[in-house]
Amino acid sequence: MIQLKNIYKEYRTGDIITKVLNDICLEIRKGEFVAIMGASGSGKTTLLNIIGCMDRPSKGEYILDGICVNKLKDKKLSEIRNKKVTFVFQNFALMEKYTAFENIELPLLRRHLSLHERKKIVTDVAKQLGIEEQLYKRPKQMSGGQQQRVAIARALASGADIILADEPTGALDHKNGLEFMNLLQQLNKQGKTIILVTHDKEVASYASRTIHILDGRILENV
Amino acid sequence: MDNYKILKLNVLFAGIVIICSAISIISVLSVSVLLNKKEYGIRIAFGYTKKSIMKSIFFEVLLLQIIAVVLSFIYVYYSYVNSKISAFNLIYLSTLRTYSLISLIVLLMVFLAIVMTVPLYILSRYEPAMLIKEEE
Ligand SMILES: Nc1ncnc2c1ncn2[C@@H]1O[C@H](COP(=O)(O)OP(=O)(O)O)[C@@H](O)[C@H]1O
Ligand SMILES: [Mg+2]
Repeated sequence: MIQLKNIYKEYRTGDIITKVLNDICLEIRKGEFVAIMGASGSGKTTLLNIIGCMDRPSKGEYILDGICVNKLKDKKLSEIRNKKVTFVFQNFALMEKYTAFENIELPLLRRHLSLHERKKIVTDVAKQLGIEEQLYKRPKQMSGGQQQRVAIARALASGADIILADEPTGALDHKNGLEFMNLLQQLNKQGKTIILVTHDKEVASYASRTIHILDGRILENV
Repeated sequence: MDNYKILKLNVLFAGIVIICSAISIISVLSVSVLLNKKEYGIRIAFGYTKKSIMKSIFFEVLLLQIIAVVLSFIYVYYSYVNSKISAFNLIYLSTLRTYSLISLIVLLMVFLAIVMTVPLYILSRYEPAMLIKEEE
């Protein structure tokens, strides 16, 4: 379970202080499918990065499965990013120089697994997502939809129960976008907790709860 | 006296070469860190620490430098062995084997420390969330 208590985040660039998140309180239970909606610049990505332990709040408490995350050292945070939460980014965030296989394998490299074990996990998720033909291609040689599948395969390979998706359909055409949302819904039914950032109403409608955010504050909890 | 002057000139020349190569290596490494920053961000997002990434960059450069030092040492050593010039050969070779080898290793360490500071500092200034951001 994710609990955010009075989270603030501000960035300092020289003398200018940008307040990005203002007193965010939020609870997300295991197995939920939550959409976070809001205008560009409202702080959605910042919020997701804090939940994903890519960033630390300036103030406030973040509790993940009973562990107070904001007190943890970098090493512990990296373990959370490796095992507990995982990302799907808008721009796919695949490593260009590496094949799909190597991209999907990435979270497994931080564990003590043999090549054989890694190969098994990667081919299993690739089969599940229908990209086993693409495994030895590089991102540039694949379509957008295929790249996003590789990105989700990487998230699944990590085995993490919480999937954070930052505008995952933003770089896809309508048809691929909806296909991708169906996939997320399916994963949610299999028990994954999904937190999705979007500014598309249709995309948000796949979620079971929508949170609106405006200028770093949560508006309503419908 | 003449020999001494030649030696001084050699040292000066070597110094200039070292400084120039340090500057060019620093700029190449800095650019390469910046070009790869998205990859570092991706690695961090999936479980690496910034420290582990800096460590692997460091060891990559260390390996390259060790290869360079070994090759140049072998080259210099055999060019002395094969040169016909003189009685001094024996002295040269033994200095190379002892004194020069040790100072070479010390020099390598110092050089590496100086050269790695700038690119690693550049990388350390980026927050993980900033690394992965797309900028066009
Ligand atoms: N590293 C940073 N330094 C300074 N300002 C930042 C930084 N990251 C984000 N911001 C600012 O925070 C605000 C919210 O950004 P973001 O969370 O990316 O919004 P969204 O994802 O909702 O579009 C923006 O105004 C942005 O300029
Ligand atoms: Mg955003």
